[in-house]
Amino acid sequence: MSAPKRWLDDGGGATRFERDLLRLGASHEPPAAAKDAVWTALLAQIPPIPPGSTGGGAAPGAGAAKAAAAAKAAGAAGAATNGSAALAGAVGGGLLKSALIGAGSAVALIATYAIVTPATVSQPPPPAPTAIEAVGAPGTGVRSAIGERGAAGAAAPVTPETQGLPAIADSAAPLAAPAAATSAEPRADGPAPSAGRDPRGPLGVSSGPVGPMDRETRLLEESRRLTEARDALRRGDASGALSRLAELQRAVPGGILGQEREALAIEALAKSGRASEAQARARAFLQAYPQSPHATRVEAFAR
Amino acid sequence: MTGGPTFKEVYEEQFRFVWRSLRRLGVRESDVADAAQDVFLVVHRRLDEFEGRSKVSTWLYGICYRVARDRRRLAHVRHHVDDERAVAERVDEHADVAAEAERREGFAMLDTILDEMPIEQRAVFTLFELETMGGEEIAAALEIPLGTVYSRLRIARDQFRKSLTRLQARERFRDEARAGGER
Repeated sequence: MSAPKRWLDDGGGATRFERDLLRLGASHEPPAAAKDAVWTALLAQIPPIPPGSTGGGAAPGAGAAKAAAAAKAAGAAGAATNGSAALAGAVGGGLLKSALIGAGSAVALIATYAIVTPATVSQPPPPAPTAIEAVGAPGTGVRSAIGERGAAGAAAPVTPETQGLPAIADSAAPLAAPAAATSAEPRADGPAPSAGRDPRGPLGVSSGPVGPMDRETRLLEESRRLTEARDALRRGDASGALSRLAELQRAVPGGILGQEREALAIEALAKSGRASEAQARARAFLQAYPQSPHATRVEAFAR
Repeated sequence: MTGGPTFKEVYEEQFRFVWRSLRRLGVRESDVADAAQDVFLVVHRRLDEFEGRSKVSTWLYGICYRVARDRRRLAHVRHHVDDERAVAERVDEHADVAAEAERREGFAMLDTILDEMPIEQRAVFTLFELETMGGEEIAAALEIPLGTVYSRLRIARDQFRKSLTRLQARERFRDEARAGGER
């Protein structure tokens, strides 16, 4: 049985356009941040210790403990022994699963990680772990084969991450204000009583010093609800997503994942036909967070 | 675990392969991080069972194939293409990213064409034409006879041409309609 020639080879019998299209397809590589993001998420779900020495258990508490070890193993942040860093790992796992707003989510995950860690641990943010990969990605050679366009594509995913990180970390604290100001949702003026899910008290703390446990609780809660909203949106249930997001904003007004919530809300508004509202909030978002990793995505709704 | 590669090694060496395999099997850009995570969770669980009878890549591809197929059954596939199209069209207004938009149009077109193939054909086609795997290796990865590999490739190529011709015809029609409207 003789093997056929490949279409991409000379004399393979494909038209020029077919070959162009295939060459483009062959050049497809993961965004620079993806590898580290998936790894971090993975480590939050698997025990890094040899099997047999842990009892397993997927309960949230056990998950956090696992994530602590995982974050340390990953070396993703220099402060991994701190509980909040471990939490970032755990939330990262959930976030990745939720893939908040599409293709940018891997970058968003890294950015989110950066939001949490420097704010609670008084250490400088770690160097972007994916920088080396971005530069040395073996795919660049293939990309250059398809011309300048490929180069533009390769550069794109790197930018928000390398440029956006410091800005995000700086803006972590005042997240609450612009989000509330631009909100068209009712009852956004004050924290609602907790739904009774959390014995530690109301989640709606938007300013002042926050203890590490409160912060963790809030993050996990936010992450969980964002995932639900995002799933609803992906199912095509834009109004369900919107009401979940509104609930989330009431429960956690000054959310640590405020940008993610707002970006998702803008998308949901657009999808439910409320284009002018989506536009207004997209513009406000871009004004408040010009360096956001979600900016590119949100820009599409601002026009 | 002695002799065999560690989980970390497999991840380091194969992440890009897993990523692009999933993409080529029809997992959307927005879902591929999740899918890759699923694949490596299976790898983590079953690495001890992998005894080097095949290449790591063919073993991994089998896992990618099952993950992609299961996701495909969940079906929320089509409308994402439209999403990506819509974004690409909006982005087009920026002169500096126009080239990127065009590139994404190309990807969207390829996705549309491949989406019309059954996953069995799609796997053979993309492994052969894009991954440039050999026939025997494809047979091993998909656990099918070599003859089946080539017959699927033939059918997939026919399908590819048919879809492409139809897409181009449709686009021509649209362009002409637009030009007509402007006159």
